[in-house]
Formats: sequence, structure tokens, C-alpha cells
Amino acid sequence: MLYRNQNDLSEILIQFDNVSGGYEGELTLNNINLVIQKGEFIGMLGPSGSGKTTLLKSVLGDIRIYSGEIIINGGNINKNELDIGYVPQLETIDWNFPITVRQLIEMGIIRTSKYFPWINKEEKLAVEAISNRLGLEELMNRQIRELSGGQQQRTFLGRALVSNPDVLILDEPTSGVDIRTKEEIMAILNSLNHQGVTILMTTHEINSVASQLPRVICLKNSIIADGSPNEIFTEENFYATYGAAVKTIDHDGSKFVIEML
Amino acid sequence: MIFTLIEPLQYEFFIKAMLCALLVGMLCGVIGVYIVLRGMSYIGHGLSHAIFGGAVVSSLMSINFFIGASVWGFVSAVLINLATKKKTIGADAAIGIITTASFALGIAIISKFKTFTRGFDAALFGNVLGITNADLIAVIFVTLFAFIVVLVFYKQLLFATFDYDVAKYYGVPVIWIDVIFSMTLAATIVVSMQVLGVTLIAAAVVIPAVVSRLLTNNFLHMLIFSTIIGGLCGLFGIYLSYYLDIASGASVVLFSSVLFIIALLYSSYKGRIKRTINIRKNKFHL
Repeated sequence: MLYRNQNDLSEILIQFDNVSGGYEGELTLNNINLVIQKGEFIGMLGPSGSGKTTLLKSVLGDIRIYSGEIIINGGNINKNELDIGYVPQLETIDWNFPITVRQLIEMGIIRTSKYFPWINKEEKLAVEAISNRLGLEELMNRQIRELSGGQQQRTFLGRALVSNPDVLILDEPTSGVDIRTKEEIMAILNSLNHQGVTILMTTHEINSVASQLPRVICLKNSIIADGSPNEIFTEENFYATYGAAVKTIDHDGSKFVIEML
Repeated sequence: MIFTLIEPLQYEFFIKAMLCALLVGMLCGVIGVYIVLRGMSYIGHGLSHAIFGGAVVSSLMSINFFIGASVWGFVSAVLINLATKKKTIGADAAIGIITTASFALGIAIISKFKTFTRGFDAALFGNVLGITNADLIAVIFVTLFAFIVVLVFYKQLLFATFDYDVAKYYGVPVIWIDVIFSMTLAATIVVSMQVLGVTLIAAAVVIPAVVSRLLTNNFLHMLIFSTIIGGLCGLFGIYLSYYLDIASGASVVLFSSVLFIIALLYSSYKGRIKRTINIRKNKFHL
């Protein structure tokens, strides 16, 4: 299934202007020029260490910018002006932590509900609404370790979405899940995008995920290619990104990649 | 029989000691949840040793014990937190280095100034039966302070404990939360030293939280259980020490350890029952 962008993409949400940056003296992002418009659904491809997660974290304001500028909503970067829902890689989570699905989703409203353990009626309704939307209503009192991979991913999506963010940022959301769960997650993200949510995600999965997205960025510390999969899925671009030879084929309106081992 | 049971309650100093131990137990119980979940279980042991160094220096400089030890403990807690955030150093290494260095400083000063008149036995092993009104007021104050901190900053503490790196992306001021937590932890260790001593504080901080973790998968329940269990361990530990004629701090920790064994057995038994039920369910479905 090819996810087509059906939103009006006229408003610029995030703009990278000749941005170079990284962690503690390392140059992970080199001269990035990028425009993300409201309502876009963008996937980022690249080998490990290519700067995909770094680029996500630069939007979150967590990276040292050595030169250039990241402009959010027309002003200088200030993450308080852009409500961002972030879904981390699930490999980083402590699954033994004694937290239920409900408690995890409620974390997402912390920007507006900072103090004391309780939440107001409106916030309770928002939590119920998002859990129903993601099919989690029967699981609210379950501890997160007891969930399947897809349920876990949906719970973290719930935390990210409960505050109606401007941008949803996901770090490898389909990593480590089976095919059916992957389809489930991508269907949810596609549906959210159709409702106007801007989505920026990283992925290692070229054929099953990236090839289905409206826009893909190939990254290897700098942007190698940026466009629709049909435009940028070329052998030259993949060689420049991964340093590996691949073959591309057309099938059913989409471009796919075959690894040459 | 009843007279035997209420015999220790005839003594005002013993009632004071029980009240103190109850409050310290509750305090260690609530703070211990965050310590255990952050994987810093050794910090109670380490920080109490660090504060010992601070207590010695305070005494030397004729500074009030509570103030001097609290400041020293707070600085140690902040240093440990900072060192832990550097991924190259594990929490255990950071705690071990900073706290033993501080303890060593205290020992060095004592050995240098052999004319020290103050005895530090109470700091090492606790002296709950010698609690003064000033000590009790300090315990009450710190307990109230800790409960207010946990109540007001509940959500931010939970998020920062569960997912520190992501919490800041959701607007949680993680550095300030760490500072507030370090202050609360340092104050907890300082007042707990009077009851349990440097050598036994770690157990009082860790055991109630671990017991409650065995009983529940819900964070809020864990916090409540740990507070209650900590309080009961303090109260009954001191009470039993009267009849067993053993050191009060040791009695508290031994009582907590028995509760831990019971909780562990219960948790294993519950797990086995659940597995048996699941196996039988699957058999019927085949």
C-alpha cells in the first residue's frame, strides 16, 4: 500500500538552514538543508551512525548546533513553541519498570499537567479517547512488559499523541516487530497523517516501510537524496548512502530494492 | 500478657524512638522506590558513608551537625548524579568512588585529630533510643518535606525515573528534578543516620521498595506499599528490639529482611500458580 500525502503542504513547520551539529565535538550532521511542511509524512534512511537519530534529536533541541540554524514555525528553535510527540526506540525502554499502559499514556500530558499525581476530567477524557483510537482500552491496567510488540508500540504512540502534538517523531517504530504488527503500526501512522499530523520517522526497512512513504530522505551525515521513493530509489543513491551495491525494480507502481550480496 | 506487650510503651524515650523509627521507615520507604527503580540501590550505603565524612568535618569546624552533614550529603548526591549521567561511568562506580573518598576523609580527620571528644559510634550504628526532641523535629520536618516533594512533583519524578532522556523532550526540567531529589535524598540519609547508623541505612532504603516491587506492577501502588512497609519495619523493628535485647537498627533491618523473604516466596508461588493456570488454559484450547 502506498501512503499518499493528502494534506495541504503549504505551511513550513521546520526548516534546517545549512545546519551542522552533533554530540560533544563530533560532526554527525553536515550542512543539512531541509524543509518540513505541516502535514508531511517523511521517512529517513541511512546506515547506523549516519545521523538519522541525531537529526530527530536536533528537532527536539537536544543536539549541539555548530553552524546554521533550525527554524521552527518561522522563529528560532525553541521546542516550547512546537508541541512534539516523541516515540523512542523500544530497545531503550526498561520493560521491568512497574508502570501500566494508563500511567504511560498519562505521561504524555505532562506539559499541561505538571504537578500532583491526579489529572482533571478533560485530561482523563483525552487519555480514554487516545486509548480507544489505538485499541488499548482493554489493556489500560496491564503492566507494559505484559504487552505484545505491537501493543507496546501503540502505547508509546498513545503517550506521544495524547497532547495532540504538532509533529510526531518516531525512531525506528517498526524495529523488532513482525510483519502484521508492522502493517498495523504503519496503518495507524498513515491514518494519523491523513488527519493532519506531521510525521518524521527513521527506519532501516527500505522495501516494507520506506518505499511506501510519500517522501524519503537518504542520509549519510549529509542529505544524499530527498524525494519520493520513485524519484530517489536509484542504485547510485543507495551506493552513496550505504556503500553497498543494490538493484532496484519496479513493481505495482512502487520501487523496491534488492540487496546484491 | 497485655502488660508484657505494652511494657516498652511506659517509657517516654521508647515511644519517641518508635515514632522516630516509624517516620524514618516511611521516609526511607518512599525515597527508596526511586533509588531502586533508578538502579542506584548502593547509593543509600554510599551516601551515608559520604555524609559521615561531612559529619566529621562539621564537628571539627563547630558547624551544626544537621546543616553540615546535609550540605555535604547534597553535594555528594549531585556529584554522583552528574557522574552517573556520563555513560562511561556506571552508577556503581560513581557511587563507590565519591562516597568512599568522603568516608575516608572523615576517618583521616578522626585519626589525625586524636583528641576528638565527640564519639561517632552513634553515627556508625545508630542511637534511636538516644533521640532528642530536636532530632525528632528534624525527622518530622524532613519526612513532611519529602512527602510534599513526592506529591507535588509526582509526575515529573515518575517520568524522569522511567525515561530520563525522553522526559526532557516532554518539557520535564530533569536537571532541577535531579537537584530536588538529591536534596531530599541527602536530608533523608542525614536524619536516618540517627536511627539506623551509617552501616544499616542502605537496607532501610532498599528493602521496603524491593518488597513492594515484588507485590505490585503499578508504580503508585509500589510507592504506597513501600511507605507503609518501611514504616511498619521501623515501628516493629524497634518494638521487637526491646524484647530481643538487640541493637535497634539491626532489629529494623532484620525485620525488613524477613518481610523480603516472605514477599519473595509469595511472589514465586504466585508466579508458579499463574504459569500453571496458563499451561492448563493452553491445554484446553489445543
